Amino acid sequence: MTDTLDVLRGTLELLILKAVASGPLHGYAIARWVKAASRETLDVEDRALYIALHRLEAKKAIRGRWVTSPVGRKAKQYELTAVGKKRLAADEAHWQRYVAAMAFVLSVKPAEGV
Amino acid sequence: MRPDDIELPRTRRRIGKAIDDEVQAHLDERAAELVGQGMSVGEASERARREFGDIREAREELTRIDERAARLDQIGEFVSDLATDARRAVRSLARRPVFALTAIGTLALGIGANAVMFGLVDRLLLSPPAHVRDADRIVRLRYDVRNTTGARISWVRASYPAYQRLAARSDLFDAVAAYSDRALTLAVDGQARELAVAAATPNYFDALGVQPRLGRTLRDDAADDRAVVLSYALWVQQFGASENVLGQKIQLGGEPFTVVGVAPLGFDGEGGDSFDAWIKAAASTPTLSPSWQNAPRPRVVFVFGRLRPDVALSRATVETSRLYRETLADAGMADTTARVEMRSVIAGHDTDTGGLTPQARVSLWLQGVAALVLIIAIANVMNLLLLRAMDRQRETAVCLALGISRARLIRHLTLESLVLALAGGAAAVGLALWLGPILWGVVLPRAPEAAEMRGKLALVASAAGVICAILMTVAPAIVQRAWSGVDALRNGARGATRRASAAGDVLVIIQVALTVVLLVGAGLFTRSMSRLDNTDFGFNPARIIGARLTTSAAMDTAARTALFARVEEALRRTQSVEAVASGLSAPFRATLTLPFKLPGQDKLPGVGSGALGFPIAFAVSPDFLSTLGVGLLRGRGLTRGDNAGGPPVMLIDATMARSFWPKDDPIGKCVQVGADSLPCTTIVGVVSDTKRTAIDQRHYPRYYLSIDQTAPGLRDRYFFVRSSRVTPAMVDRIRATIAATAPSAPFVESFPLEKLLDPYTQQWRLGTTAFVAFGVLATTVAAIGLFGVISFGVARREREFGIRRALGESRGSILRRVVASATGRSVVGLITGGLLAIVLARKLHELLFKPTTSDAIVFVAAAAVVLVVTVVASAGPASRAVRVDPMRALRAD
Repeated sequence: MTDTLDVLRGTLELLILKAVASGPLHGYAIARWVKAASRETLDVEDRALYIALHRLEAKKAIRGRWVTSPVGRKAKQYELTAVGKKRLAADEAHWQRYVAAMAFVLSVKPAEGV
Repeated sequence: MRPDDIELPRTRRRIGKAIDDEVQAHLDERAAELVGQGMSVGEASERARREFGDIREAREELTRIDERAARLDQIGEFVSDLATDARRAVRSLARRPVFALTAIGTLALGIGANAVMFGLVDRLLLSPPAHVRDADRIVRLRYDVRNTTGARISWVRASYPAYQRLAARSDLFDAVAAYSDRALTLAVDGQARELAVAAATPNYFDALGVQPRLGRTLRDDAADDRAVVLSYALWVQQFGASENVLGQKIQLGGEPFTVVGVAPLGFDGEGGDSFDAWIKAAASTPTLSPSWQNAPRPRVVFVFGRLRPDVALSRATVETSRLYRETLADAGMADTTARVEMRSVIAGHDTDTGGLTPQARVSLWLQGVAALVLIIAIANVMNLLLLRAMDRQRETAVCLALGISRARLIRHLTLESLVLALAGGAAAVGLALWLGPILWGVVLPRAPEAAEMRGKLALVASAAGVICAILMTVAPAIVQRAWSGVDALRNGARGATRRASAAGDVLVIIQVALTVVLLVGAGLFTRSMSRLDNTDFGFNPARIIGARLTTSAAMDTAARTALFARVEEALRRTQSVEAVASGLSAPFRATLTLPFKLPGQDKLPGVGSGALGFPIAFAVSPDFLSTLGVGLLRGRGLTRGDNAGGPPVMLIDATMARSFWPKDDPIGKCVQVGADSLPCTTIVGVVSDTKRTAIDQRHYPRYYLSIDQTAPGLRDRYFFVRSSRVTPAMVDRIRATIAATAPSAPFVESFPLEKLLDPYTQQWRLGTTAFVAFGVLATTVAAIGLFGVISFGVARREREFGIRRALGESRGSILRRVVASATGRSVVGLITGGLLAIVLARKLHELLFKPTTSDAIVFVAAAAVVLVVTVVASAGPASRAVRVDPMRALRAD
């Protein structure tokens, strides 16, 4: 795991929204999803993940709910709210444009600049 | 997975526990995964914790986030609950539109009446003349002196030298100004109109602190001797509010004046008068005699001053009185008892009596009455709310049993009260804005500025609405105390209502009592008004149209006399005219007082004290008495032959004959009227008495001189027309006829003679109208209250009535029970109200026109009205009680 990337500030919330977009997940599952979906490239610090989860919950972007699994294990699941859906769409679009812009800037050769 | 069903409220403790659980679940899962990868349990747990990061710090951060979110959620919930409840309150009121509209209408009338009356009182009692700076320091001067007969009289004017002496005393006054009032004709573009003009000292505006709306005020400069400042109203009416008016030349009293400024909107003098324009009081001012500034004549100018802040009113009064006595002595009229009185310029302060004007006093009463109506209205709405709450007792009990918080239910009721009060307040603002100006137009001599008053009105109505809302939230509180949920469930609508119902009874008794008071007031004023309307003036003014013609100053006497004769002839030929006469003055209006001496007597017997006033002169044409319908008792009337060529003659009224010649026949007696140098005037007839006003306490004896034997040069002449039709069209036709006959006359007016009575009868008219309106209002409101309480009482006792019917009690007996219980409350209210009314009526007496002991009938009538209303209000509920089906009532619950 030496070549994993730390998640950039501000992008963690987008990752969480994306994670729960397809269905309710609990914290640990979200952490795993992020790792799996990014092909093990991104690693989320657990502490930061939970803080981000609760922030999003306070902003009503996601809603946490305690559930009991068939095996009797209790967990707090998070699901996307209407607010969260909107936010995800907006952030996703913003992020795509940002990435495209960054990619373009970085592809410019120094000689062509200035 | 299934969600855990009930979400518990997020307390601090639960928030901490949830965070711990969540973190622990994460650690457990991670550890389990690691163990699955072959790690030992202890190592896995250790690794999971390390991966997580600082758990303690994370927990603190998470707690902070969650607690803050919980707090915000609570506030949001409260607001949304409130909104929900408010919507529910509106919906629940809308479901009972009769109840809601009754409550809102009642409140609107109550609050509206108060706002309108406040506007009036504010205007009459509290407001200084508009635009006057620090009006409480402005004082009008009056002069208390002894007249030639030794009686004390009060003058409102002083000589110009008296003003000058005062103006020099800067240690007493910051400024002293004086003015004289003139009626001058304004000629603009061939039109003529008479203006009330103040010929003022140049410091007039500065002394009052009034800033011009346009241009400037008057200057102490000879160049300003022909300058004029227009009132705002005149500027708008005659000059179209054009700024070009400055510098314009206008013809005033036949002389050219230059407009230099316009007074601000609403300013028309420092009190009492209503000036259209101000000019400088200069030696050459038109219609002032050339020597007026030096003349010792004691009554020339009105004087007011701005007291220095450091000077006490008492000291100023003493000093000013001393100065005034010096002036009198200088003029050879020494009067050691002469005093100066200082009067406020704030409206409502009667400059004659020093107290409040009758209008102001009536207005104060009406303010009190309006407050009563509001109390009745609030009591009524509270009552309706109580009844409704009791009506829903079972529903409420179910809600309570189901665990809906009591606070939430009370909040719902409070919100209903609030919605009602606010809607009532809003409706009241509309009502006040609509009715206020109408009422003020009737009552106030000068209509207040609409914009300024509107703001005040809206403010007062809103404030009253808020007070109502506060009072009305008391109703839910009473209900709350009456609620004991379980009890209500067990007993249906019958239980736990005693307290609320007792509160309802008290409210009804209060309403009835106050209604009695208002009805008594209305009755007293109505009787007073009818006595006033039936006043015998000695003739019937309702059939007379008066007119005044002002002729051009340039006209010579012969032409003028001929013109007056032509006008009289033209009027006589006008359709619907029965008789025409003319005179130098009009009854009810200005009076003519001439020196009047009986030969060989110093004083007129009985005059000046008691019931007899100084004789009033009328200079009239021969037809005057027959036109008005004043009867000739003895001797002969005036004839055409009583002209300048013949010996001066006059008629006197019966009171004068009786008072001055108690033993012998006055006919043939000769009286010195006017200057001593003139020949005496012989009495040739006695006519019946006439009155100047309905309210004079003393009789002023009249005598009638022949107009052809008095001052032929006067510019003004009054005409009197008796007609079968005193309509506005007829009044207009009279004016048109005169104007057509005298096309060059600068001023012609006509009016129903009765209109001249208005200023004297206004206070009673105001009192009567308002008291009757408030009385009817209060009675209606109280009737609604009674109806509600009795209805509810019947509903509550439905089972009792059913049992009674089942046991064989007759319908009539049940009917009597219901009506008796209603009447019981009314009688208690009646007695309370009656006692209150007796006390208040005594205070009201001074405002009534000739109150008599027979006014006791009013109390009886008021009581009768209340009893009838009670019976009518109980009729509906009583008939419902009678129709109760015994079986159904017994089976209920």
